[in-house]
Amino acid sequence: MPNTQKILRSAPAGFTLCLLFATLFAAMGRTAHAQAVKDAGQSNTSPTPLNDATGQATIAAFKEFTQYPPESRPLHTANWDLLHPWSTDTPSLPMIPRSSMRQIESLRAAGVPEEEAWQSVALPASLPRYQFVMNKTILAGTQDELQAQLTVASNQGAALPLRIHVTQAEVIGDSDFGSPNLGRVPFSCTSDATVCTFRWKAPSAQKQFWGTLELVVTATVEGMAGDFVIRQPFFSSPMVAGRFTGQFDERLENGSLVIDAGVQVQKRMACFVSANLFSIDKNVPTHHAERRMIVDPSMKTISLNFFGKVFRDQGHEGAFRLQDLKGQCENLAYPPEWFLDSASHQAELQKFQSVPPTTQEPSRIYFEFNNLTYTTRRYANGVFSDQPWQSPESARKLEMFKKAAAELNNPEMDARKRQLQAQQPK
Amino acid sequence: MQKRVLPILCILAASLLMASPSAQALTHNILLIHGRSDSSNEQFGVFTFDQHQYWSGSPATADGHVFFVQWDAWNRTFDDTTCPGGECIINNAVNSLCNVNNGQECWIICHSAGCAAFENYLAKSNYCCNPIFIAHVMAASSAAGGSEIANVFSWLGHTIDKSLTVSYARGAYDHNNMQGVVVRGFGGTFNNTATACLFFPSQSVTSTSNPNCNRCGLFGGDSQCADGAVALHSTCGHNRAASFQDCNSTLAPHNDTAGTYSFHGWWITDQACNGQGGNSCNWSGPYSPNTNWNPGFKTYNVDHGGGAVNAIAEYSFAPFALCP
Repeated sequence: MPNTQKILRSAPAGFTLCLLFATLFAAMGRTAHAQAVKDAGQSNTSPTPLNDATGQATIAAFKEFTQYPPESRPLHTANWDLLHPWSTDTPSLPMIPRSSMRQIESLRAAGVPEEEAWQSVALPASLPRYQFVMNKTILAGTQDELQAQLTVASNQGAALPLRIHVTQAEVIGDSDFGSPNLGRVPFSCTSDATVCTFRWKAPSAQKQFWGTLELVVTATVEGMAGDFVIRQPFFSSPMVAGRFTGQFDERLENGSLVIDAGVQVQKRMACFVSANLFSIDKNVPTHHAERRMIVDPSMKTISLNFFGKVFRDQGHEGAFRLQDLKGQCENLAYPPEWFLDSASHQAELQKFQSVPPTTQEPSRIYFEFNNLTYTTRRYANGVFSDQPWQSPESARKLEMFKKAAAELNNPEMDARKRQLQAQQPK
Repeated sequence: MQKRVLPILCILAASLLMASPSAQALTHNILLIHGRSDSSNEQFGVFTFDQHQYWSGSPATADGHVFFVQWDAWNRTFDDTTCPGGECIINNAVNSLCNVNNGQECWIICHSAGCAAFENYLAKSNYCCNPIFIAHVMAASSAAGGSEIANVFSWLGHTIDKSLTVSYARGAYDHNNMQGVVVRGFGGTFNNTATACLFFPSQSVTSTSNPNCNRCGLFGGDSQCADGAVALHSTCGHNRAASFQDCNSTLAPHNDTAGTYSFHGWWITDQACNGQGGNSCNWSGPYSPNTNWNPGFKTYNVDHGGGAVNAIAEYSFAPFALCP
């Protein structure tokens, strides 16, 4: 096996970007011939533990899933993504000199194939690294503000913060709309120039501010020659599908807690409406509710179900806090019913697909961002039901899984598979 | 467009014939969903041969039918609901080939962005309560959690790249909502590009670091685990885009608290032997030779393409009960 470290150490000081290209456009692209590796696998067969991928394990997983309804799941502190519904981690990335980027662009404009263009460009041996710490990576509405905090560090030894001088900051729009320049972005830097903060919100609900936008910052770095252009993508939904009003009502229904959240809906759409519930007494998350539904301007409330068995299984009682209300909707070119039940609308979908839209648009529209919370009454654990979720459809599916698993227990076919394996290249 | 729709209709007709009511057994369909690739000469839809010439081979199957699901993973995003976008093509394929009412059951092998496209489809479906029938998902080199490389170069790339940034890929759908379908990842750690230490998250080397990962930093004091295109945070289904040394599992009885999406785990040996192979393990994969499996870390020491090669080989060499 090639020694990666050796390759890295022996790379020329001005190592080229060609392998960047290879990485992006080949490694991630057309497959795929792995490097030759020498190792022994094993091939054992015998009974089935619970969590393998056989039919029995498929049954076990489906049973586990369907003990609670799809729209009301247990929530734990390990579910970082669900607990931060508007954010993702942002990576620390290398700063590539603007001059190198310009060379690439001009070569490509001259018709040089991408691979060759990248191979022609050299980079400094050591690149500083930048990171944008974002308050969020999804903006919903025109009042929702992005705050991106930029730091730059050396890539040598202890990553020391470097002084930066920002010469330009702007936002570039989605490629679906021709990647328009959406204007300058105000920013401020600390007195020691090691941290700069950029703030942006969509100035209007126009389409040009919708989709995958990029914060593009041009800067110089102390001790480094030339300037750098660095980028941070985020998603913006300036137009909204609706908003939560802040009105809430609660009730117990069939042993589960149901909270009706007031809404104003602007457009009929297929949406995923979600929220988290926390135990106030224990200060821990309890439920993640996620409705898959059609929202409509006639709606006044959306009911969020917090399933009784989750309370019982986790021993939760007392008062609870609802938060993280979010509505994520599909921007569809066809009726939302077709999306929610595509199997029943297969014929309509295929007819539609024969004459698809000529333009592309971003795939998502959100409900307006909110910081709403709602505190429930106190509940004793015993008021909640400990019964698993019952669904005729999922029960039918489970029966089919059992039939399928039985069919897979077929010595004759297993022997046939072994014969095929003997013919496979080792 | 007729060219694109025809293959789907033909496959649909063929699969319905194969699953005629007289047939007692379920039809086993194996769907291969490719990743990011230049679609210049690609036809879109479902094919019984690898028209796109993406894969290194076809999985061996005793009684199944292999289908190549081809979407525009160059000029469309993985969550595009209009064809030939990822969501649309996969939705059509699954409805045509994985419907238990038609006597069909599916095995999914996806690679890279194809895994993002399939998971997006699944998370937004009502799988729990519809007739779609999926045995399990083999997620090779999954880009469902995005790639830092796309963050740097999406502006120079193609439409697919904007959906493969870390924030887009992770924000597009609820990655936990696999509806009870098990997703098993092939996380690769072999990265021999000169840029190996440039893009992906790293952490200080300790005695417990994965020895197959790159040693980075001035004195090699940092460990960075990626397959050249995607880091383990994505290929292993971790719920944070951070530095990871291994794959973990939330498949019962595992309950990873370090941050793995629900219903995600590794391919394939499991708790009975804690990945050490042999001993008292019964179903202890991997089954094929030369996978370069690292049992202690549940990773494979292969590059990005190697994940796809391993997935095909694993399907081929696994017992009938696991991969028919």
